[in-house]
Amino acid sequence: MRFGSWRRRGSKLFWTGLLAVIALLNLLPILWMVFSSLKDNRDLQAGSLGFSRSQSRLVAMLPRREGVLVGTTNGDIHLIRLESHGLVVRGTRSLDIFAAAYSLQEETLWVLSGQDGILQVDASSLSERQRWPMSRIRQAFLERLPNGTWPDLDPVAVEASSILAVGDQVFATFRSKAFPGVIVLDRKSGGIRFLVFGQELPFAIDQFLDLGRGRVAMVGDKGVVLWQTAPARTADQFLWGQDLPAERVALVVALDDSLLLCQRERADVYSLPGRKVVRTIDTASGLRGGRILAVTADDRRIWFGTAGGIYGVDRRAGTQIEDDDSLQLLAPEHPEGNPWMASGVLGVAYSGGRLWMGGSQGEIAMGKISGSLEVERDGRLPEGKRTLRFENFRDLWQKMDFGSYLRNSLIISLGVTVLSVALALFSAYALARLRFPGKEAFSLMSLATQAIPGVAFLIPLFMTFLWIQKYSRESGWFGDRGVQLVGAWWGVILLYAVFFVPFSIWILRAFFQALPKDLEAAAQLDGCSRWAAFWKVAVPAVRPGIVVTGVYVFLSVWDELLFAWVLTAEKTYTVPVGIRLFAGNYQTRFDLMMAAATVATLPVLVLFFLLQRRIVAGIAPGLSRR
Amino acid sequence: MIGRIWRPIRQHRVAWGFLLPAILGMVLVHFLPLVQLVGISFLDSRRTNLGLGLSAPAVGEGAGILGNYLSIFSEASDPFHLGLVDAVVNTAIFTLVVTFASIALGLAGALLVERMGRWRGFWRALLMTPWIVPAYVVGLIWGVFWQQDSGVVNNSLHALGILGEDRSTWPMWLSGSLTRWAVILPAIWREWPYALLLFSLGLQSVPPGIHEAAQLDGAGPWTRFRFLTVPLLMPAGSLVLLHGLVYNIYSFNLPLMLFGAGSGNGGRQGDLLMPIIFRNTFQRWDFGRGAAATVVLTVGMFLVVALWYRVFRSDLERIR
Repeated sequence: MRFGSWRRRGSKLFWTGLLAVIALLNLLPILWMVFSSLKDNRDLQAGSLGFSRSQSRLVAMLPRREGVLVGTTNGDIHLIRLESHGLVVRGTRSLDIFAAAYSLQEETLWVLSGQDGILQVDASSLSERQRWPMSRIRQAFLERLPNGTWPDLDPVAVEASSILAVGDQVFATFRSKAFPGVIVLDRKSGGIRFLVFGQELPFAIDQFLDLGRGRVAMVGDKGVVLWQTAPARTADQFLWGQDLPAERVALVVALDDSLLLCQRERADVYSLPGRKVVRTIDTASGLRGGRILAVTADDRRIWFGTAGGIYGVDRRAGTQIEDDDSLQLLAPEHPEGNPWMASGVLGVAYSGGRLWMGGSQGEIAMGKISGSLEVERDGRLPEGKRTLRFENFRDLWQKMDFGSYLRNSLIISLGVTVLSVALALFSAYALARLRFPGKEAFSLMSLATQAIPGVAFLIPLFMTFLWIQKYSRESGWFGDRGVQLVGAWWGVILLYAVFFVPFSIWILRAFFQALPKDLEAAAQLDGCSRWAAFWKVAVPAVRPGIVVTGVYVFLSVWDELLFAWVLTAEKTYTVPVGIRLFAGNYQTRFDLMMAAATVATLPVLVLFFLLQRRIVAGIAPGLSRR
Repeated sequence: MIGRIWRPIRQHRVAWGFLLPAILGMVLVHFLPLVQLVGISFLDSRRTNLGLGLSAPAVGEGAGILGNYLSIFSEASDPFHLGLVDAVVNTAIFTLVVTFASIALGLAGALLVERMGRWRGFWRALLMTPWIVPAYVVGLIWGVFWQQDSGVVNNSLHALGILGEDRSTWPMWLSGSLTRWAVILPAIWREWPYALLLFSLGLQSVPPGIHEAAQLDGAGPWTRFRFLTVPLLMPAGSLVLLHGLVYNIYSFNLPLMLFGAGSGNGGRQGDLLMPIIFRNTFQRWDFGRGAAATVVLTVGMFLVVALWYRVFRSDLERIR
């Protein structure tokens, strides 16, 4: 092969490569928009450039033999072992569910999910043994209460819920106002029972605590129920604000025969037999950590995992602690500063002289307690899987009335397209085919309108609309509200339609001009009237032009914000108006903004790529004519 | 008199009949409102007397009938006036940079696409995509891209090692002097494909073989570009220029969504004419001054278009 041919090929390859790079760079903002619409908003706000990981936030930290089981929100279970060089993740199982709560009972791990029901998992092999899906739980509920209403749970939102295995029974419930009761699973028979609020139970429950000796404390919105498992009955109950000190607390822990009631920054030790608060720990003034996120206790101390670190408080100290000195603050020592301080501690668990800790950024650590707390080993949980959050689009529809905006935009854009092109057809034909005085003046006038800003028409039209509304109301002929042009479909459609007529005339005229003159002449010779020649011969022949014009008008109306902002009301808001409102109200929901932008762009992109050849040919017919 | 107008219309009643729907509509939506607009620009129509509508009183005694015009041009205490001066300068810079950058990029792109032979249409469609994205979406997404600490622009620059670790030292695109570029760059991104398309269509009108003929006559690549391609692309270039001038001076959706979560206020270096007129008219409800500013803007635009027409008249004759 000759050298020249190689050179030509090389040069062709170079230019194609260059063009490909340019095209990619050019598409980058659009690709980034679509990609961002599928990311977690936290990642967008943190400026992360990669994929979002599934949310592996620690939910439960359960000590087991020489290690700890960690369960996360996305259903990842990690078995962490203590080894000579550090904490090692010995096993990981992804259940691929949104896990709300975990409970460990000897060799069995129980997992509660708002999406998939209750799962029984082997604590050693981490393999799933059995599953009671939501459909089965629902069925059991409807058998119990045939006329009851089953709630529509949002599997992602139900995070704070509770499951507890005691003896042969597993108690589970969802922290959702709509959820009607407590699920009781019989381990041996596999049967499901329900304790219904208002019948067996006095109020809604969202947390369970094992008090030992077959007793379960059920914490709910009105108080705490002391539940006896055999025979099954309410042994006692304590109400918030009456027996119990606070209104309602976020976190309750059992301490022998006492309950530790944790609020945001304060914890009360409440003795059940004595029915009174024996001690109050104020973390707002006493502990610098702030908000309490997790609690555990050993024989001597109560350990608080807070937004600012880990703190231990002596269990037997006096009833009321007022100053810092009487608290034993134990921040874990760490060679590189203290990572716990920054990120918050989501899990603490005590077992056999060791304190296990889990941070909100996936950090895990084990500490020995000897006077003060010292971190002996630390490590990190594996990151969650790469995910695309299609839920953003569902949230988009929930946060804003996007379906309605889309419908309005489609109705208005399509209505305007049809009307505007129909109106313009006549004039375009006359300008292209007929000779008459005033033709130049008319086409100049219609072109001139394109150089006038939209606001020049909007100001007087808006004032006229207000005027019409006022006088039609005063006249009394049109009811109490008068003729409301602002916010009415037809007002906007008619206005836009006429607005785009000059533009449509301009494009359509070129298509009529391109038709061979003989076409209609022949038709008229055959006895057609001028009208028939236009309607039966010329109009069908410019069909491609009609499509192109229609697409341009559609694209323009789809992108119209100025008139729409002023002339639409809640029921007729279009997509741009809705997005502008949303951007004003939710300034940091970048994920939803990107999702909205994607939904607003895709229809026109699809339209463009379907009709791309025609659009390109129609944009300036004079230019490419040789 | 009436006969002199009426007779030709009657003689050509078919033609005027065809024009009638458009004329009726345009009189109602375009021409009557324009007359009203000029009227409103002399009225003292503001929030307090919005209910009066068009029967609002004329501008007061002291300022004279031209009060609205005088105040937007010179009244130092008028908030509209203060912003308007900046907005005029910003819009001029914005329009010129965006238009000429789009022309340069579009021309280069069109020449590049022209080399692709059979695949020309494919590459052209691919490069045109930004032009299809609605302008308000462009504003919305770039408003997120430009965020100082979380935006993809700064974070990419950081990943490339151009920006340091300390986020507080990263450039603020949406306030201060960089706002000018924060609105110019997205506008170029959306506009250059249009120039590319028109130039690309223009290149197709170059007669085949003309370049080879010139080459045989000893013309080098630059000579051929300068004396063959450029003159043949003048009609397309003139249309791109006109479109760029009109579209960018009237740019509204993009700056509106780009700045301040839909408020469209880009500050001293970023505010443009349409957003400031819109804010003062429909958010401060100062219709009189809004109308006055709009009238001035429209007259200015007609001057620009007239100038354009004088320059490119001969080129336009070729594509009629």
